[in-house]
Amino acid sequence: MNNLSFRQTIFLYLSDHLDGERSVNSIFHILTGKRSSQTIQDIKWYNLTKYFHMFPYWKISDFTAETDELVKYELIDTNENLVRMTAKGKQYLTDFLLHYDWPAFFNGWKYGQAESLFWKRVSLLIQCLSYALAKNRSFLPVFEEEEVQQWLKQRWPKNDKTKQVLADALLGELFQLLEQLSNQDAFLFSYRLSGYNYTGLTMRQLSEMTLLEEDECYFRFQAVIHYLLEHVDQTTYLKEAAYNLIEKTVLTRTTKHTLYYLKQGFTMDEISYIRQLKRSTIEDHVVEIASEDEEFQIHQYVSEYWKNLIVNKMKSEKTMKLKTIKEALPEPGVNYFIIRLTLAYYGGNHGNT
Amino acid sequence: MGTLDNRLYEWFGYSSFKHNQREIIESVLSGEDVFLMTATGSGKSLCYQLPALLKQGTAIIVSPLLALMENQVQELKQLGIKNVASYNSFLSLKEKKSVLNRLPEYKLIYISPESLQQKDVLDKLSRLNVSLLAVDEAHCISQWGHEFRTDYLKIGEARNKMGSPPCLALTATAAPEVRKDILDKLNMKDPVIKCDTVDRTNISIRTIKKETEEEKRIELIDCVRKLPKPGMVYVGSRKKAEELAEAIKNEMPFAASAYHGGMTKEDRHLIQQQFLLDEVQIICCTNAFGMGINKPNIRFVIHFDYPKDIESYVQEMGRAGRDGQRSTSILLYTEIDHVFPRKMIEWEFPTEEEVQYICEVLRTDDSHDVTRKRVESYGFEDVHARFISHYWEEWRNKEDARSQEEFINMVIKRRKGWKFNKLIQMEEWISNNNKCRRETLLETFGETLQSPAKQCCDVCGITEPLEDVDEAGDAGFPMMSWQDRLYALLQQQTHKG
Ligand SMILES: [Zn+2]
Repeated sequence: MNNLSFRQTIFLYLSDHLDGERSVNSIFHILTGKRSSQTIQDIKWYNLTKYFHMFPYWKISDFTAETDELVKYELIDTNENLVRMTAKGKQYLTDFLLHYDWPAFFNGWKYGQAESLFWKRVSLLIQCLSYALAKNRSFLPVFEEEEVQQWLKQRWPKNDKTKQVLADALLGELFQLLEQLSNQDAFLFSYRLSGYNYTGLTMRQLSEMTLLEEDECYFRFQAVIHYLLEHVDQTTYLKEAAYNLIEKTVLTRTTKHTLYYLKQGFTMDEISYIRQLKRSTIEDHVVEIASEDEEFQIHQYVSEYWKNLIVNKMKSEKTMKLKTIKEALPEPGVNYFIIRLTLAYYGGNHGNT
Repeated sequence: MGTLDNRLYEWFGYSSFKHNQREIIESVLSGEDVFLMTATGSGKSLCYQLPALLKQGTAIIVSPLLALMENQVQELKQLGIKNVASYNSFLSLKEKKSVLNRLPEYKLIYISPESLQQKDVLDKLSRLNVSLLAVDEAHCISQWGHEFRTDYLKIGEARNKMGSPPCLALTATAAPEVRKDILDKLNMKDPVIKCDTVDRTNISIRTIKKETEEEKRIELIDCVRKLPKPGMVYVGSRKKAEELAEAIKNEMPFAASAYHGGMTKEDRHLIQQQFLLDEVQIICCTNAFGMGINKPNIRFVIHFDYPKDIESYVQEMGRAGRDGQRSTSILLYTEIDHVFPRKMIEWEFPTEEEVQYICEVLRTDDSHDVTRKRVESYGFEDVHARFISHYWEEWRNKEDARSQEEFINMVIKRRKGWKFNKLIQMEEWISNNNKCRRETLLETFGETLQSPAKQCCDVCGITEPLEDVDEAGDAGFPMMSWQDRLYALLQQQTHKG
């Protein structure tokens, strides 16, 4: 067996968490950041929010080939379309985890959507400042998107003095935050930046310089971005780059739509009719809301009796598998929706029971 | 004529016109249609910018290159010419509206060919006093038009709707039949035709035949090692671009990088910028690289795979030596190289079965327009969908007696035949070792050799320049700590001291 690639290893890591309860594709959806109700539930239940959207560019064709390889090496098996770790797989993972130095912070669920625009703003700002301070105006901006340019225009300092002040302050803020990270991670960030006399490096070039795989470079670079986003509140200027990017609750657009009707007092069947969507789709939305929305009132849907039963079964059976839980319940009378809802509620922001 | 010079100086800061700029500008000012073929970077934009500012009304500049458009607008604004704008798909709805409502206030509007097709845009333009219609990269009408730039084909129609303003077509390369096509499609009448020679006397030309791909690779490495840098290597596929960049880096102390459409936009931008600043010395790229790039000191262009027509070859090798210094063009080939470009041409078009299928489907429900999106929804890729929707519409307009599939397949057959002929012409040029390559190259553009070049071609005999060994050996990027790098980026003034 050759050494596994970084993303194959991460795949193993997630397989270990979902052991035997989810399919290969559900892990693919987590890593590429698919914002579907099912995937969102998976990351909540199995406490994998961090790993969401870790490799958004992973193609399904490559993914299939790479997981087939894992099966071939007997690190996992995928009978009945469920991923199970083999002893060999567990051993491989243990060895990896023993030596792997995780980044200081990474949370794809929380910052996966904000990361790209935040980086574009920071890097365009620094590039423009760098050229302005060097009194050189002829350069191609690293990002040309109108929304990034507009953001910059509104904050662009008017004269040389304020430019210098902004540059100094940014430098101070970045130094302070990056110093908490490993040299390598800070290196990835600063070498990705462009400015006068210095052009940023591509992921391939960063990989050649750090001797990390390209995927790992990408992951660790995004981890720095997430780390900065997590700590922008300690800053004055860097914070501006996160302006309007971080939302409190992360619901999909269509779910927000359903939430709006729920708050108006419509029942799920009524919403299903109004929105011309299947009842099961509305159920997906409500499950998503249950896990995300702090104001969600579970007792409107699940009685205290059933709630306790389901939570207890989940704990005693040590599983998140709906079928197992349903079969373990003493009497019928509860549908999968109720179980999913309960699990989502306690797996999400309310999970302190 | 003193006023033209005065304006040139006042608005653009130049004290004199370059070679034939004045003649062209005078023709444009007098309302004549003008066809202009001149190398990129030779000041062709001035040929419409100056007349646009002098004439009553608004000039419309059609350009397919968004970045180039934005750059020109920025440059004009920096010169103090504020009443210019660009209109393209990158603008927000609000910005688009704002530009459309203020059209008469502008002297120049840059617009993408796609945007020119939109009804609301055309309506506004038809009521506007258009002083001039300039079409940049006009060869898109012919060389690519039928497949990739069907929007270009409709510029002629748009011109009529604008009240047939004087038209200026600009291109860097166009063989005689392409030129004819351009004049025809843009409805240009008795145009003034100005063509620079395509001959680049400072670039030597060589083709090298090898037996195998591996021998080609060895030859490439050898050329790259010896020739002065920076340089470019053109290849036919993304994978090969990666492999060769890797090989060059591994075997030599030069910074090399791949560039192709499969990379992220950000990474592509970084490579382009590194190349411009000589941080990377060798680029291995597909033909995705180069559009609108202007780097004066490229010393060599090597074709590891040959392009599918001579115009592309001239355009690509012509990126070398813009500074007028001695430069080298080398084309490597083997006997089996003819397979891949033929496949590429086949892939550009839907197959006969696909045409048959889509026509049947579309006929069963012809209550809707045959848009590109609709064709795509049946599993057709973008380029094919554009092609089908365009010719479906043309079939309808012509009220052709044949069935849709007969009509479309006839077009495909004609287009493929044309492309294969262009490819054969390219291949004949490559393997013709009996006559000066420069002479045969010029012949295909309807030119004759004026004065022999000092370093002409491998048939006439050339000596390749050699790199000063001392200059080489500057591999990779300078290493500094992350702190130093951040500091260097943001403390420019302090550094200058
Ligand atoms: Zn010759």
